[in-house]
Amino acid sequence: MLRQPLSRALALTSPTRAAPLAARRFAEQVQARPDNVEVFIDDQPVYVPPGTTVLQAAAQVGVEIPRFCYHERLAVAGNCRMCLVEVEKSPKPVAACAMPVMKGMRVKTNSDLTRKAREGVMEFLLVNHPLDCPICDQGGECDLQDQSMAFGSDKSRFTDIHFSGKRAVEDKDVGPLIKTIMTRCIHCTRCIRFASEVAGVDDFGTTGRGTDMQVGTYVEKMFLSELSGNIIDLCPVGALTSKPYSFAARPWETRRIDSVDVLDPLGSNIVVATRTNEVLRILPRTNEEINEEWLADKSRFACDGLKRQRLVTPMMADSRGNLTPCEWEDAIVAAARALRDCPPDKLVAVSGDLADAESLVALKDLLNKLGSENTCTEQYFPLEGSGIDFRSSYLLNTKIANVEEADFVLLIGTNVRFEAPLLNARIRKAFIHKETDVALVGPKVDLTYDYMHVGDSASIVKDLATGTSAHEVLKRLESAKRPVVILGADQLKTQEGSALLAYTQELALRLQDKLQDKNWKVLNVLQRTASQVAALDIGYKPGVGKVLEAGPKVVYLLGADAGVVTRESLPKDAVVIYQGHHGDVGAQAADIVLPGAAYTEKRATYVNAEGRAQQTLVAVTPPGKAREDWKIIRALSEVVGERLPYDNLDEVRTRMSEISPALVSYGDVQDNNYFAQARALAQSLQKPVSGKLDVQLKTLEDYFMTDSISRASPTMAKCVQAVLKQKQSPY
Amino acid sequence: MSARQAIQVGTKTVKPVLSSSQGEARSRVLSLYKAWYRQIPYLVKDFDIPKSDEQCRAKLKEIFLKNKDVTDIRVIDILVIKGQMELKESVKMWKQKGHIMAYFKPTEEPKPKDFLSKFFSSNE
Amino acid sequence: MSLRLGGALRELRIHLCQTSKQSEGVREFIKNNYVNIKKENPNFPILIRECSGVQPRVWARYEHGVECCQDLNDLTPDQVMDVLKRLAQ
Repeated sequence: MLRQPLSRALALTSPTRAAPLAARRFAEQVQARPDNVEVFIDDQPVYVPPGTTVLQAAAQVGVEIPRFCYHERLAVAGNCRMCLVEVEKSPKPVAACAMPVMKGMRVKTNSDLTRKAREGVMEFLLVNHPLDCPICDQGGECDLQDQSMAFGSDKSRFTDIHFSGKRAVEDKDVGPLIKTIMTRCIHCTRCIRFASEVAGVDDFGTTGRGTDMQVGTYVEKMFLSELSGNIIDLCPVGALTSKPYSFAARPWETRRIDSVDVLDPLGSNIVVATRTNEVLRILPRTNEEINEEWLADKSRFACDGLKRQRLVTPMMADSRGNLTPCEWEDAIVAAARALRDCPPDKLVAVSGDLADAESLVALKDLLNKLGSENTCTEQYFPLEGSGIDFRSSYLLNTKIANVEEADFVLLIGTNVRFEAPLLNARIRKAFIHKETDVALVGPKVDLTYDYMHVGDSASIVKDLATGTSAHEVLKRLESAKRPVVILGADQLKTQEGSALLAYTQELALRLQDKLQDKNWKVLNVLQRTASQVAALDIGYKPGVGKVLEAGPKVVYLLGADAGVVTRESLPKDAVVIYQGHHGDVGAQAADIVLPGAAYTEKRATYVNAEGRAQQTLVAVTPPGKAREDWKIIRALSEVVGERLPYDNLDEVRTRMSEISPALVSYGDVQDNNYFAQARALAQSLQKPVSGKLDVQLKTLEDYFMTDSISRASPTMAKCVQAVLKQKQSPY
Repeated sequence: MSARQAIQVGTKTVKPVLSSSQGEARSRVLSLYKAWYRQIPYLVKDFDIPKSDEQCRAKLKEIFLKNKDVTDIRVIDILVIKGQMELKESVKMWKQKGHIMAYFKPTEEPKPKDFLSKFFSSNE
Repeated sequence: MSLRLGGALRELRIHLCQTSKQSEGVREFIKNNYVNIKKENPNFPILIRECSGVQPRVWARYEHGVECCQDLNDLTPDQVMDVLKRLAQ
């Protein structure tokens, strides 16, 4: 009936994987056991801490009370009145979502009064609700439909329909992603609370009272948030639906496959809904430790980019330099010949944004067998000092879920809002509920919460690290019990990158050594792409600058579309082999194109920014003649003559566990240590830094098109245009 | 005692289908083979098959050798019975040319077994 | 303790557990000796990959992808050093 039973959502009776805040323990947070209060739900006794509501207590017993406006992650509103239950010795039924329990309370969730209340509320809701079920996208997954079948009455007494009819409300335009049919709105105010609390963009509100009440932005304004798609999930009726998905399919027609999103570095868990081998929509899956139950807009709506600009056949450049389709045998033989004839030190492999761990491992094995050490990633990370030896140098060591326990957050050179929107949502959650303060070193950007802007020059980091800063941020950092420092990986690109990292490590370790809680880690580095962490775990050398200087003869691009390797930067006779799924920058520069599979089409491992390995599952088959990425490399190796020792996915994963066992421990995040050793090696790199820290994604229109899938998506293009148009409007 | 019970659980005695020993089953198989072998020239002439006697004999040997690893006597008996039924249908001309030619599977392509052939042929 | 890494040896990977007793020696070894070894061989990749519940091992990758694995279960830090010296030849 309800999309997810409350007992599971609150994780009241489930293991720690889905456990909310209460399960994470820190040294000075003594697990206080308050005196539990005894409450009787339908004559079943249950012991709950005081302060829980009747609704939550009933969920502990397993009784689901119907409601529309209550949501576990939003503030309580209590305006739908569907959760009314009878409480003994109370003259009126009480709203279970808002009433805190009292000792000895006896609640009856199935008595005549309760049932009459529910039927009454449902009757009133349906009075003004339009008869849109056949044309409404929410049909089949609509809370109103389910609860009216379960708790509503069978007849309607709405005789006014023959006279003045039902109320109608105008539709509001809130952007190219959300379709609003406000006649269907039941005024539960979930969207308003979400926009104000979680998204931080306080644009939604109510206008008018009674029958004339309307929910909207009052003036025609686009909902400018990167988490805007979540109100589509929240709305219990079909008032807010997904515009790209409108009229596409009914939920019972679709097959749902669990998977992981790769368009941002957090690896949010998703559900891919498909029908007839095409991806229809992407919905979030609850994972308390990464994305709770939200999903960023790019991950949700860029799935129509999976149908455009796809590479479906192998291609080779003909005599005039144009890429023409050819057969797999020809392409593989040509690629193998190029690899075999190339001197080992002039053979380079570059991995891109969306490369999965299996193909990264296969490519590195192939190159090592051919005698080359030049496996690189497009994204740079300083290799001086301890480089990528310790995982703690390039991961989010305070895990994503623990960031909401922090009491001071320092962001260095990163716009978390657009680089990892769900991490920003966590920081905002801490900002609202735990009164965490945030300081930012970098350009002034809108983070949806107030922060101290310390400045944007890199020398501020040096001052903080050595303790010579005059800013009050230093005092706050040193007195915080759970400080968090987040450094954006983009800042490490420049010459001063290694110095910046060294100072950040110094600062983080200085703060960490003073903490009482020995398990709290301070240093975090936020990578930009989903493949970077896996590549660094496997041993890829970050950055292509050095290998390009040497003048390579064969360059193997594994989905490298960031434009770091261009035809101009290579010698004239270099052979470029591109393996990927979209015809983007990399394929344009290539001589041989080998079509691979996108993340919804292969069973692959991706490691997120905190070092958690997760796997995507096959939702649709790759189009045309495309193959799975690691299989292409394995076939290539056989034709080259250096056959790789694995033939199926299990053997590849065994090989991955030989390289790093964390790559195959799915769903677990490891604690990484050896900060002191990394700092010891970084001491010598602490040179003066003078540059300004700048971020790539400053405003919302930069957020939407950042990788090959989102660049190919028409929905993302519409979003960019709409944001630019909204900037012109006076509101 | 527990060893005896273990063996009792592990083994079973069953009713035989036709033969009660390996030797009997073997002689049934061989007599079936001989019957088919002797019928081949007549099959080729009666059904007007575009194959020579040699090819038919080679195919007969191939089909019999497909089952060379079967050890269960009852399974061997059932296979022999099915072979005898096929022989009866061929001799009495209840089959037609197409049924006899189907033994040669002229349009079936062998499935790729090694990694590279599987890779080139399809996405599996 | 000097350890020259290079030549045919291309990469060292050390797997260890963060908490188990068998990896105690490896943990001590990294805590005390890693910095010196890295200072002598600044560009040599010595990847330390921790994972809970895993048996401590060291993998050495030589030229042309040839790999060698040694078990470091229940070894003292000195014994770990000896293993590494042997692998470096």
